[in-house]
Order: sequence, then C-alpha cells, then structure tokens
Amino acid sequence: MRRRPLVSLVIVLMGGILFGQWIPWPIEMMLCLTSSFLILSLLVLNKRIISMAMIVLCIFSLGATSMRAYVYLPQDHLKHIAKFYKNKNVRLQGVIDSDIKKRTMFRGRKTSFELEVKYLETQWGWKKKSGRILVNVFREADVTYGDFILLDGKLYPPFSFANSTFSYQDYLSRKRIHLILSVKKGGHLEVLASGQGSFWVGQSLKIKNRLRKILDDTLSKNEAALMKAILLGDRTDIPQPINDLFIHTGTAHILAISGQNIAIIAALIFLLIKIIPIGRISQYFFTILFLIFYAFLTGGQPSVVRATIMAIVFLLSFILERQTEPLNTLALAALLILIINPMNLFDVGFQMSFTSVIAIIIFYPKIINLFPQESPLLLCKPIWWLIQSFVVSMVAWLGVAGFIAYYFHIVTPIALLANLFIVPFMGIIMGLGLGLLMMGIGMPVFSLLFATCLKVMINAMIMCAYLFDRFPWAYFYLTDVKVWSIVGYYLVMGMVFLLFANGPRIRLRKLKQISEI
Amino acid sequence: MLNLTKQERLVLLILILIILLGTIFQYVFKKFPRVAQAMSVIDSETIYPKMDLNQASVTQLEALPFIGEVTAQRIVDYRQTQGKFSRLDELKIIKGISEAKFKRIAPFFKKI
Repeated sequence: MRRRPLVSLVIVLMGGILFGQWIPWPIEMMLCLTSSFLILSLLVLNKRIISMAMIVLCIFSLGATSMRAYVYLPQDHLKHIAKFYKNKNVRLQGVIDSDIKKRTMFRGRKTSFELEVKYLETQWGWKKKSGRILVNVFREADVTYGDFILLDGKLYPPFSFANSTFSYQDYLSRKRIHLILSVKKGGHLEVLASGQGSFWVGQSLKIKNRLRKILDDTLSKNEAALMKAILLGDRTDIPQPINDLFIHTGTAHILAISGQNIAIIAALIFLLIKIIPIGRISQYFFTILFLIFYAFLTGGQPSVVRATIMAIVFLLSFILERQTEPLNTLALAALLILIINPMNLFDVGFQMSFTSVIAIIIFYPKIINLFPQESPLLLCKPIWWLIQSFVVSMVAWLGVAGFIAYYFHIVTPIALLANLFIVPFMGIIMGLGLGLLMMGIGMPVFSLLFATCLKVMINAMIMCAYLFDRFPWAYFYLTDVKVWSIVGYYLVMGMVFLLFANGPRIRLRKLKQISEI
Repeated sequence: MLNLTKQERLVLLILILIILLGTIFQYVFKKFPRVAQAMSVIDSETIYPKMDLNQASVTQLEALPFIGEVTAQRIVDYRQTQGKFSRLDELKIIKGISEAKFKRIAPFFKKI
C-alpha cells in the first residue's frame, strides 16, 4: 500500500486553518495549546495511538495558530488608527513593495502599487507605523519598486460588493492589505530614496519588464497581452472579449501559469543546460534554481508555486533516486504554500489548481483502465493519445466544475471538447513564446521570425475558441449557486470514487450483482 | 564533427523549422496583406461586440485593437467638446486617425 503521510498532515492543517478563521481564539491561547500538544506528544511517544492523537491535535492547533498569527495586526499597524483619519488627508512614508501598474482612467492615467508603510505624520510629528496598503495615484507617477516615498491622500477600507461571491476586501486581506490610499491628481508624491526593497525582487521585476518589452515590440497589443498572461502571469491587459472566449469554452485555465507551462519550461531549460559541460546532478540543480526564479518572476501565484514544487520534487527524485508519489507530492506543495500564507486556502486559484490535479491523480488511472488495453484500435498511438487527452480534460473539468459554478456562476459543457483542441495549441504557443523571449535577449535578429510563427498559432487558437464559443449550449450561466449544492456535488464525486476505488473488475462484478437483485 | 544526441538533433531541427516557417509566413504576409489581415483573428471585429462610439469610455476604447491611449483620449475629448458623433466618418477628423486607420477601427463600432 502506498504511503502518503503528508496527505493526512495537510488535511489536518487545513482543518486547523479553517478553525482559526471561523473561531478567532486569541493567538496567545493558540500558542499555548500548540505547545502543550507538542510537549504531550513527545511525552507519550512510546504509546502509539495517544501519541498520534496528540500529533494530530498539535498540527491542527498549529494550523489555527498560523492563521491567527497571519491575520494578527501589531500595535503600530495603520488599521488601528485609520478610523481617526476618515475623510481626512494623511501623509505617509513607506517603501514600494510591488510592481507598478499603470492604467488609463477617464481623463488621465492611474498608477497603482502596494506600499509598506513606515511612518505616519501626526499632530505630534512623524510616528513609526506598519502595515501594507494599496495606493492609487490618479496620474502618471514616475516610481519604481524599492522607492522610499512620501505621499499624501485619503485612506479608506476596500469596498465590498453585495450579492457577489468574490469579495475584493477578502482578496486584499489575503495579501495583508486592509486599506487603500487615494492620491489625487495634484496630491503630493515624492521619492526620498531608491533601492530600499529586496535586491532579488528588484532584479526579477527588471527582467520581467525587459521581457514585457520584447513581447510589446514584436507582437500586436492583444497578442502581447495574451503572451504576458501565459508566460509572465500578468493577465491584466487581456481585453474582456478575449477573456470571455476562454471563460465560455472552459479553457480560461490556460491563461494561468500551471503544470503544463512549468513542465515545458523545465524541459526546455534542462535541454539547454545539457549543452553546458557539467554533471547530471548539477544540471538538475540548475533547472530547479531556474524554476524557483521563474516562480518568483511570475509573482508566486498558488498555481505556479504548486506546479513548481511538484516539478522540483520530481527532479529531486532523480537526484536522490527515490520514487515519487503524486498525492504526497501535491500535499507537500499544499503544505509549503499554506505555511507561507494560510489565507491561500481561501484563494479560488489555490482551490481550483489543487482540485483539478487531485481529480486527475485519483480519477484518471481508474477511467483509463476501463479501456481494453488489448484493443487494436487503441494500439494506434494518435487514437490512444486522443483518448488520454480527453480523459484528462474530462476529469480536470469535473474536478473544478463545482468551484467554477460557485465562483463564476457558469457551467461550460463545451470544455470537454474545447480543451482537446486548445490545450495542445498552448504547448506550441508556450514553446514559441519562450523561444521568442530567448531570441529577443540573445539573438534579436531571429525574434521576428519566432514572433511571426507565434502570431499564426495564437490566432489559430483564438479562432478555435471562437468557434467553440458559437456552439449551441456551449455554456450557460447559473443565477443562484449555494455552497451546499457545491458540497453535495463533491460528495457525489467522492462516492463515485469510492465505487471505483477497488478497480474496474470488482466494480463490474458489484454492478452485475446489483443488477441481478 | 558535431556529435549531437537524438534530442539535440531534434531541437536543432525544430529551430530550423521555426526559422524557415517564420520566413515563409513573413514573405506571404508582406506579399498578400489581406492574408495577414484575415489571419489576425485576435484583432478582428469578429471577436469584439460592436461598441457605441457615443457611449464608450476611454478604457473601453483603449481595449479595442488599433486604438491606443492617446487616440482613445482624443475621441472622448472630441465628443465632450464637439458633441456626439453623428456619423462614423467623423472619426477621420480626429488627429491620428487617417483613412487607413479609420478603415481598421470602423468595423468595431455600431452604425450611427
């Protein structure tokens, strides 16, 4: 029987995080509880069952503790005094701690970034403060990551839209942002010092901007917007009609960096590194380092981190000559992501990314084994590849359909067919896109040729998505989706899994017995 | 002599294929501009729902292909100073919208 110790561990940790979110006990109490369970579990190490129970409780309370610790606001946090500055102008000093986003607004531009607050001007002078805020400057501002700035504006909490499953307030609080500062067109913004941020983050943002420029210079506006999403994790420039095409056809996941992207990058980098005369283990290590850098470059979204961790474990298995266990590896990825930020548990990207992979790991082998392996039809490689792709597409879709229905109020039956065509396009587009970026840096003379091939592929994929979008009953919107209906959907999936858990022969025998009754 | 593994030979062949295809496509698109235009689905009016020129905001206009930030702002400025557009042709009055550009952007708007 396969050992998956991390799976139980991460489920208990998730339970603890949920407990910490719903039942906000004081953090001091949670720390005491966790320490107590840890000590108890050490004391009863020889008694297996009691020791296991203590360890489970310890991990559970650790999850709750980390949740409380993550949402805990220190005494000098800006949120504690924000209510005293309602509708008043505030002056702050802080360090820009994110990429700079510039958007066109009505009559001008808006510059947005995240600021790590350092000081607040009060009637008693500048006071040391802490906290992370989102800053919207209603003009073009010449600032960059790592700038220590002085600015003034109005502070307010993020809006919460009624009758929506998406909460902007919750989304920002997961990033530890509880306040927004609006700086008017004529508002004061002054750069006091530069280079105050992390050197590595600064460098990765510079590289990201360089890569963005290559895409902007060689592709049209919309083609570049699509490639920025696929290669750099930046989806903000994709026009809504293009976004809608992918949403309606159930292929919006290709716009998020995930397993396929990471696999292609890893394969490409590993292939290129082979040219360098270094040992095999060193080649694996360099590939791992590059993947970590890439996850950094794309902003560390949960789906990227998940895929990167799984790829790293897979590569490490070659170095350590150990077999990997997919569910265990997935659990490791979840563990690391939740340790860094327990709020990721409530992130829709995290939920969908992991659910789709779990569905593939659990259901794909069961369903693919239903096909008679000896059939001459299946010996034909292209047909077998088509069947495998369809099954992967189907189980992934079934895995995330519940979440998509709940969060986006849409069901996309056409996804089963559309993914068969569009996902292979993605592999080619990804390869060409990476080639374009490499040529843009190393051999610009060839970058235009790569860009031309890429344009053909992108437009072929868009045409494909458009045609599937036109299918009758390709998608339909739901008006009211309750949480219990989604829970019920996944419970039914779980029951179906249990029915198939013992393998197809035993399942067929059982079905036969049921039919004979 | 070059001593390449099977994978390295495959990569080299793929690179050559991409460069060759890129050259062919570039030649075809330059010689037959209509082919380039027909191929450009992502920038075609097929994908975009037709927009009301007299209602569109700067952000909405900038989201259309071939219309940048400056042109979008000029269109909205013109609407505010000169009143609503009575014909699509009036777009040609705006600085930066030539006859050729007008032909490209006109299909994205509803007829007035």
